[in-house]
Amino acid sequence: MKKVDAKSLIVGVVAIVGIATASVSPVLAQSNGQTYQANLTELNGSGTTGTATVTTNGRQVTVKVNTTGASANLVHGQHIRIGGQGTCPGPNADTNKSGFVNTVEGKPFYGEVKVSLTTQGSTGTDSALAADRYPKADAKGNVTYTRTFTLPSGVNAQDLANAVVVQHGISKLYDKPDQYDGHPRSTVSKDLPFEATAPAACGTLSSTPAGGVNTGGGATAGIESSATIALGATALVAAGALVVVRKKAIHL
Amino acid sequence: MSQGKEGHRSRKQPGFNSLVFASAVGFIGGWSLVERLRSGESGRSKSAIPSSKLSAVISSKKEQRYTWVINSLIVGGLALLALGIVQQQSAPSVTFQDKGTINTSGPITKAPSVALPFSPPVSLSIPAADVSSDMLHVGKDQDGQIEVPSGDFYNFAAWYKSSPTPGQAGASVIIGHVDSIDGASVFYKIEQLNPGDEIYVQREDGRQAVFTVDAVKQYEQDNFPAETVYLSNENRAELRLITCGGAFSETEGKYQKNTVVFATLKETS
Ligand SMILES: [Cu+2]
Repeated sequence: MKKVDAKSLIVGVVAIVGIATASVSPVLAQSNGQTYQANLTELNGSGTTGTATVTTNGRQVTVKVNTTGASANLVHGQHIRIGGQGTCPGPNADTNKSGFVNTVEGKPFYGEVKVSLTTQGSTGTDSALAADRYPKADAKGNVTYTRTFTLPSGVNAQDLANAVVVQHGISKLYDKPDQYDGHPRSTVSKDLPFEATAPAACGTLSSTPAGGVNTGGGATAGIESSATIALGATALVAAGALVVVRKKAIHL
Repeated sequence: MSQGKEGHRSRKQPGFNSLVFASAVGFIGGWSLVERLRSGESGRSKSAIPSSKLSAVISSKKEQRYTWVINSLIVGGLALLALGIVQQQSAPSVTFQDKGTINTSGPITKAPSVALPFSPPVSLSIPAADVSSDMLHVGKDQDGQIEVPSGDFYNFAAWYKSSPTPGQAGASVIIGHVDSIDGASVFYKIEQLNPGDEIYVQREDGRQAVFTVDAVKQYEQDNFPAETVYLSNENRAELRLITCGGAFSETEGKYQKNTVVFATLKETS
């Protein structure tokens, strides 16, 4: 038989392994959908809290926002804000010491308006102050919002990984507690009272956890007192052996 | 909360190897005992007294000695076996059967009027599963999975802080270890919960949220229905308790399944 050339054998094996690996590696699936969730907590003592979820399917998103404790019977502007630190402002954000964190002061934390969570029409930046197209709280102060739409241009689904949901509007800050009124003007529009655009609730979007949870060390999966049990079993085996031996020793 | 992985290093040798080893040692010990008794017999036969006359006496002495040894071995062996079995904690059941039905169409009318505002949980009590724990607040680890309690906090229940707070509309998620490398942990018995059992959560705002178990299910960790578990389709206050279950993989250092308890808010106070 002809001696197989070692070099060509190695080359052949490497080639086969290479092909096999190449055909397997691209299978790393790219997920076509992702859900993000946020806990909205109060800003400026609004008493407004709630949750938001954003489910993506390509560039199409379904956004749900549910808050309680919102100023009743009033419209609440709400946005997905991107480009800041992806966080909600704390009391230290009140740089002008007004006692309130206004919309502009919050920007370093939650970023700019990128998606306007309107009830109809455009969801782009141009709708940021579209007071007639935002959801209204019911008489109990609940805001319930669900809408499916295509992300406005300039925003990609991946941007939602570092995004913040903010809801605005606190009627109790000045004058009549149940109306957006009072002398101070909004920091983002001279046409609106400060109360109408004051940040009321804020939450950072976070993708839902991947897979399950590693919650076990395994101690109770085996036999923990194995040594004790083994010793006991051995003693019984030895006793049995002795019984047999005794019979032989005595009766021989 | 720091990221917890220490629960997953390989635990002490499983029972089988030590069982074989101990049996071998015991056997050698037992046989050497027998040999000693035999050599004692042959030593005695060298005495001046004619062996024929003494054989009956020796026989009865020998028999007493054997009986004494055998009896001690039996008594001691049974005692050790009993002790070992009492110390045994049954593993999470590998033959677990799903219980109940996930609440997918329940009374939506209750929420959100009954649901509570945001307020993080401080403690958890489940009398039916012997659970009583203060609550940690955890996020996700680099793998995107929920961070698990570790170190001094290993045996605490933990609320996943991106999920709603217990009592708020949505699916609030609380996790806990089923066991450690030393023994049972906080969620050891939750797979024994049944539909109708109650779960009590105390919140920072001083209010209590009471949940009723709808279902207890197990899922392969490699094929985990994240949407079903982590999200609620309805605008309703729900709770999920998650721990490990199924068989423990020595090679992967983790359990193959997750046990998930699904519950719905019953009342608040
Ligand atoms: Cu905004």
